[in-house]
Amino acid sequence: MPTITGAEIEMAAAPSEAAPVENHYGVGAAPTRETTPPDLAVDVAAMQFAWIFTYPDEVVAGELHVPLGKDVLLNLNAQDVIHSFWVPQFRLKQDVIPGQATQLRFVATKAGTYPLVCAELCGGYHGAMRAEVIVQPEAEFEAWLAENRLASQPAVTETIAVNPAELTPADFLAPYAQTFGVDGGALASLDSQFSQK
Amino acid sequence: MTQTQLPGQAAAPVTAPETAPPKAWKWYDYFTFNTDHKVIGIQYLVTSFIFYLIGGLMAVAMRAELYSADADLLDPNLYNAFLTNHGTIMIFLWIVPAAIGGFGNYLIPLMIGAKDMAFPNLNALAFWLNPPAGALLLGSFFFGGSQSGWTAYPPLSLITANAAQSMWILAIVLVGTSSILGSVNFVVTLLKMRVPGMQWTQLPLFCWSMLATSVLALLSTPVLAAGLILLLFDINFGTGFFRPEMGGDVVIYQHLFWFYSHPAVYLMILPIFGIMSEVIPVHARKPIFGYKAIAYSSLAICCVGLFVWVHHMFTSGTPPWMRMFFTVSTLIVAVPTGVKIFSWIATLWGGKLRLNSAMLFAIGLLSMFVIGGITGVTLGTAPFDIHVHDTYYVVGHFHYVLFGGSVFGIYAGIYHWFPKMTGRMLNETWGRIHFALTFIGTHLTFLPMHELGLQGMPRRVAMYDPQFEFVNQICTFGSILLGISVIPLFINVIWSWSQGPLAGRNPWRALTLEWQTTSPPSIENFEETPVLWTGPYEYGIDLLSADGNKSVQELLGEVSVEAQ
Ligand SMILES: [Cu+2]
Repeated sequence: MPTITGAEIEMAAAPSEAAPVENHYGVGAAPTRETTPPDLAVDVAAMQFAWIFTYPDEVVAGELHVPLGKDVLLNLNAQDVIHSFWVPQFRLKQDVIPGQATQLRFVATKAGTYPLVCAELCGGYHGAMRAEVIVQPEAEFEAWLAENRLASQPAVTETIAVNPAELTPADFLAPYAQTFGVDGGALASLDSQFSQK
Repeated sequence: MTQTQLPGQAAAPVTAPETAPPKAWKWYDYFTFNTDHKVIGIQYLVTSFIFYLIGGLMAVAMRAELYSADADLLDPNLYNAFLTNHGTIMIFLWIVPAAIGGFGNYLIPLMIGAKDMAFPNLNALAFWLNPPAGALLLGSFFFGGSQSGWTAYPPLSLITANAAQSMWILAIVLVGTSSILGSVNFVVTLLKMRVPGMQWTQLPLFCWSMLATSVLALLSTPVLAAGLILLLFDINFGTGFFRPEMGGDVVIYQHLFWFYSHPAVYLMILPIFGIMSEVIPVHARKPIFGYKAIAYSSLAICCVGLFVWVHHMFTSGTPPWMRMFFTVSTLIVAVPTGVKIFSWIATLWGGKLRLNSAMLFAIGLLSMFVIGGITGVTLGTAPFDIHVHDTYYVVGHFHYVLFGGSVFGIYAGIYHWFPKMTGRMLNETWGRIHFALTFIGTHLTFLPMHELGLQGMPRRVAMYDPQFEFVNQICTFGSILLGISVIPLFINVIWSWSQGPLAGRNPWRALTLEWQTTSPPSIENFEETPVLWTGPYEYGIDLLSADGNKSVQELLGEVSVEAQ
């Protein structure tokens, strides 16, 4: 499988809400860091119409938790059609292309919760394919990871057995609601969006 | 007047048709396979205007859906069918056929003093490929409608509404074929059928821009056809060109698609640039500023425009050198475009402006296109594009270019040439109301979209983050205003076609050849071969010779001696 190295984007600073960014965008890769291993690698699966994040030790979540100031590598994979990983506040966007392993590498430097948006038309509920990126201090992040490490196992196998394309996002995410801290309010809003169609 | 070598001058005379044609066309002739370029031009304009209304209704329906953040009005799949077909119809069944097919066919033979196009039958055939294409698109709604955007990226286009997607592909292949046939016709007509003695430097600038348009269409359209046929095979015949699970490559499709579809942007604006270069000097009563600069910049856009397509794919994992190369090539396009903008402004500068409807739309276009051009430069720059790609910023940008640019230009052309096409004047008051509504509606609808995109709203969504609701409501009100703005035009055209005051040959006192014949022109265009007694834009020159006592006959004699 080809790896798109050009997808690596160096980001030195995440913005605040009001005064956006001071980041060092190169056009393309960050060659100086290509050889150094990242501090954290997360597998990101994009599917109609949800994002699934898999951490080391099989921790699975519906939102992306990132330790503050650490070098994070995302391995992006599309399960069905093309999606696009976009965090507007990070000024960071990368298409997630089926059949091509894609990587995205960044350092988030400001704690906070930022929207994650799918930016490539992927079907009827493309607009509902939203999640969150939570940038938190390292200790907080480690605590979150530990909390979810053990509980994760059964739900993962259970989820892999079903075809996610046949489920609504709310159904799909329901098994995670208790164990992984997927926000109950978010599920309710997803549900209401689907019941209105 | 400078004398330059004229290639192909010997081939100019046109042979007379075998059978005597009727004196004038009846209304029903416009519904038949007619080979007269003027009939075909009007067929294109009227047909495309009907599709403009259909595509416009789809847009208003989408804006109504976006009035609230939830998907509460339309089924999201129907919303996607509307967004796909809105784009497809507006591009392939409105702007391209109206600007190229409509004005190109109607004007080119008249402007170069020819009796018809080089291949009249081919011309009629090219037009009649369009109605079935439109029928296929509208018919596809019975199968859910194509829902994968006008870009039809696989794998989404492979797994969504297969029947409708196939009909969509066939429709695009039909209009693409029509475009190729039309382009061949334009090129040969312009090369071989100019009135004897017409130098390249005496060619009206609309003809120059149509030459560039045709060359561009000939080079790029086959590539799109290839990509779409492969997609059709993937959907229906089990191939896997773009199926990743079969080893296919979805990014190759994007290259094939954008190799055509970026030049398609220039196909939609180059003829409009031609219209601008005709309308502005006539109503500014001044010679065009920088004739050669405008003529050659069309060719420059045609050449550079073929090498910018990857700027649509900066987030598709393109390697760094490509991002660098295509950023630079994209920015270069701004140079010939800027040359044109400055030439038009210089033409307006100090002119005796007639601020009628045609001129208002032309000046409106200038202001709109500058905004669309500047946002275009920002989008061509990879680091910025990575943030706003596939957002409402892009939607705002290309509507400034395509609505504020192309559609304003088509409107300017309609107000300018309606007297020639029908023999009657349009009503000026209603024309100005039309302009005012359109101008305000365009800004109200499309300016706030830039903000939406920058703040994080992606395009092609039926539901969105509620924080964007207020700005979306502004856009929706603007789109309703735009919907209303078509009504004055519609009433004006219908009423003036039969009741408007008679125009006479040359109501604008214009110098290009189409104004030397009757309005509307007779079936063979000119009773006798027209005399080229002046360049196309030599306005104000009569003032210089006003001190002489020479009669018009003497002046004409002098000019024809000079022209030898
Ligand atoms: Cu998506």
